[in-house]
Amino acid sequence: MISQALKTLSFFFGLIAFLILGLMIYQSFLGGPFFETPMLFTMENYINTLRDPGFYRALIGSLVIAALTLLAVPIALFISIAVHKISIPGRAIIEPLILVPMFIPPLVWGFAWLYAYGPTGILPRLWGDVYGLVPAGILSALVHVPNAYVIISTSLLGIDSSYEEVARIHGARAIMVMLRILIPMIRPAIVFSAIILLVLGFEQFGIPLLLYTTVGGEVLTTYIYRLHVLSITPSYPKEAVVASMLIYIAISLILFQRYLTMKYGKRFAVIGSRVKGIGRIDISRTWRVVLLILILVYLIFVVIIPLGSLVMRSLNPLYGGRISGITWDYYITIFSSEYHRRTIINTIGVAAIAATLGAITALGYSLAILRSKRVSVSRFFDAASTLPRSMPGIVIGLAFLWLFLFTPLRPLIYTPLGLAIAYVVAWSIMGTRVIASSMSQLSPELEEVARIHGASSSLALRRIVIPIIKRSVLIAWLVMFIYAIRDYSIATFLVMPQTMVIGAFLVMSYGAGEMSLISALSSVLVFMILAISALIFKLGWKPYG
Amino acid sequence: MSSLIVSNVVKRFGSVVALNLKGRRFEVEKGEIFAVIGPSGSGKTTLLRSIAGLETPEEGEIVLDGREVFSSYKGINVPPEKRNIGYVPQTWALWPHMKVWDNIAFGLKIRKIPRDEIRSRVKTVAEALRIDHLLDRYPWQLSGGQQQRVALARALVLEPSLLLLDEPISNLDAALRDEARVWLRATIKSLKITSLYVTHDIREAVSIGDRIALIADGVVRRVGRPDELYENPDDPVLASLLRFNTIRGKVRSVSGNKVEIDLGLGSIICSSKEEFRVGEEALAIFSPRDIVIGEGALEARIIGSSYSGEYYEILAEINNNQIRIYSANDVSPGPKRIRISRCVASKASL
Ligand SMILES: Nc1ncnc2c1ncn2[C@@H]1O[C@H](COP(=O)(O)OP(=O)(O)OP(=O)(O)O)[C@@H](O)[C@H]1O
Ligand SMILES: [Mg+2]
Repeated sequence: MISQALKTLSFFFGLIAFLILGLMIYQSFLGGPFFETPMLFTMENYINTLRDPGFYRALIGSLVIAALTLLAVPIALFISIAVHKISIPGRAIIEPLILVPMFIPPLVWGFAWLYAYGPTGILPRLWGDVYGLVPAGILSALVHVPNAYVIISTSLLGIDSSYEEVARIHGARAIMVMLRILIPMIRPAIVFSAIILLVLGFEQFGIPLLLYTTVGGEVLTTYIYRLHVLSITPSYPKEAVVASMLIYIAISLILFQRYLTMKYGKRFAVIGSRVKGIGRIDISRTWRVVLLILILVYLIFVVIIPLGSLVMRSLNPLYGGRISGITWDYYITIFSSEYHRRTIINTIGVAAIAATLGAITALGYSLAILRSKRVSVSRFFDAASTLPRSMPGIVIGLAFLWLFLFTPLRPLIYTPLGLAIAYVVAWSIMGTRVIASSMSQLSPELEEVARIHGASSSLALRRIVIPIIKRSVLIAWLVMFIYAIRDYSIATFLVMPQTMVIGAFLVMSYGAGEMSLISALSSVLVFMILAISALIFKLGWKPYG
Repeated sequence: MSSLIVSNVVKRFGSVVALNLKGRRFEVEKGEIFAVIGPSGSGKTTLLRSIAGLETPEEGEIVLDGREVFSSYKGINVPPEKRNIGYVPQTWALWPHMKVWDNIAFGLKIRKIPRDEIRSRVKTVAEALRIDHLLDRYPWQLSGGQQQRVALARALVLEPSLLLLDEPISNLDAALRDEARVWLRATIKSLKITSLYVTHDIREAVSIGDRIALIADGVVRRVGRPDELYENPDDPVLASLLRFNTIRGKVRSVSGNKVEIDLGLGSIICSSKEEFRVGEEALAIFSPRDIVIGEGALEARIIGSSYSGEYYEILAEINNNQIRIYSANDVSPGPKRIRISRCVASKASL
């Protein structure tokens, strides 16, 4: 029974994942809206889009942002080596601070950045102009440092110390070991993180919206958004073409990465290697202190000051210029306004539905991927969970909007459940990773013995599998919850005033000058995210491996 | 001249004393292969890493080729890269991003040796180790045996003052391992490189080592030639590594270097190097080969037997102590008389 229900639910979400991707690409080849146009494929939309100078401007904007996002790689590499290989003091405090930006939405980082270094910030124009393409790209790099850091650290921690020790004993100084052995050995992870960052850079929406469109710039995601929001009659084919282009770019990058994994995988798989110890590079005290100071400067200017400014902004009525006492007024406003209160409750409610459905789906996906006897089944679910990663949030939101508006799924439009479904499809991969990695350590024989000794597959699942992976299901639930509350790009298309969530509210009001409300709501969001991420870490979630 | 002298070395990890050579010292002669054997966790790797300079001992002195590389008393601690050592770790640790040639040449390049010389030295070593046809491959394109040779070549090409090997053939298949033992000893010997060879396999230690040091709980308990250890295995740890039988009993009488030990159901005469008192507890240690079934004064009960291909391995009991007997003929279970032809006595507590 349970096991059947799980299969059905997983299959439903898997199907939708393919459906939205297919819909977007299908629409990009149709002359008119998909719900009223006969199936006649045309290349005209692509040709028209490619003739549009606005598209090129946006494409170049996206390319620049993606390229600048790559700056996160050297920063992450540097921090990762300093934290894991050169035991700098205070690691236990430093590491969580480095990982924090991973869970906080880039849009909120954008606001925090403005409150810190914008024209009216605490340290106005410390880094020069905060608006423009290059500043947006640099901020995009900074907020994605943790993503690269996790990938690089995983690889670094997987290297047996003997590789470094042989080099050391055979005459190489610490710095040589780092340059000639360590960094080349983690090259696959470095390339892998670079590809992931390119994907994240292309799908970046909040930061360019805040820092670049405000000065008249455009990237592909904001282009789609504005095509949709600003035009009176939406141009389905054109929106679909730009969205599809983003998908093609992401899929090519992901395929390239899979190809490289295969290629490197063989070469870097080493016979008989089991990690016995992590090598430590011993450097002089002075250098250690210099490294520590560099990292602290990074943390203070990139993490602590912006987040601090965000909170300060929400507590300070006459911000900018002078500190003029602390007030809870904005919070009182928020919590006494029916609309804002509902927005917060909606955010939590939608996230709870998404997390619950998502954890169950992730369990179903993991079972299917790891336990299915049929290759086609495990391939289907592998693709269903990874494919949505090739779609920027804005594209997923748009696809669901169309799906809900013009198909029998109509009752779901603008409902919390509808939004939650979109979240499950978009982020099931996050929960699946958590559960699958704990399940892969669980031998299938445990279930098989139960089956042979007379348990049905549901009973085996309930009595054997779930108790053992309970904790990872809980972690998956919390991870999905965080991804749901931190979203703003998907929600932008899928809410109406009654079903508003914080992220979508922030996108809608970024230009309206409601800075105090924005800062207060963002602070509430940041607080929730920090609390839950602390809980996840406490539950033993490991960003590595 | 001694190539390596280790004395008084003490290494702790927190409260664990991993190595404790306080008041002890051993020397390795030039060109000698010195095997270090001991049970898991006994401190073998810690000893090797301390010599290499990867660990800094709390106390002690290490002298390499007449040069003090570590002395807690004089505050000397030469970093690993300046000790001129060659190292073959258990996992071989061939750098996966380098071809075999670059793996072998690495240490020479670091030493800024001229290109031509690097080329000829790599070639010479590769030919000697019969891997010259593999120089253009990556490590993952090699078999286990080939990888092990490359790892050795990478160390030997440096002509090090000392070669450290940490269970270098334990990752090989059983069949290859027998061959590797013979080959490894012949190769190292022909190049006359002083070596310290760590293993927990006694067969490896006796077939490769010129001398063997037995280490347990961080303490070097015995140093000797393989035949000496077999002749006189008067140490319970050594006895168990050699798969000798050990029975605890009471000293009944002492005469010269002979001790009579009462095992409960009869007594046996063992030779001893130490002083024993009558009535003291003692261990009787004897080889499974030195037992004759069907005669003698000891009463044993045969429990069962299995055929090993060369001899029968018979499990028996003397007064509730299990022993192993190697015999040319099978023996049926039940009470039997046995005679132990050779035995050494060891102190019960060490
Ligand atoms: N880095 C370390 N930190 C803490 N304890 C350690 C460390 N390295 C070794 N030890 C401890 O020191 C003792 C000796 O360890 P060592 O690795 O030298 O043993 P070994 O003889 O090489 O064992 P094996 O045969 O299993 O390789 C063990 O009790 C071990 O747990
Ligand atoms: Mg060891």
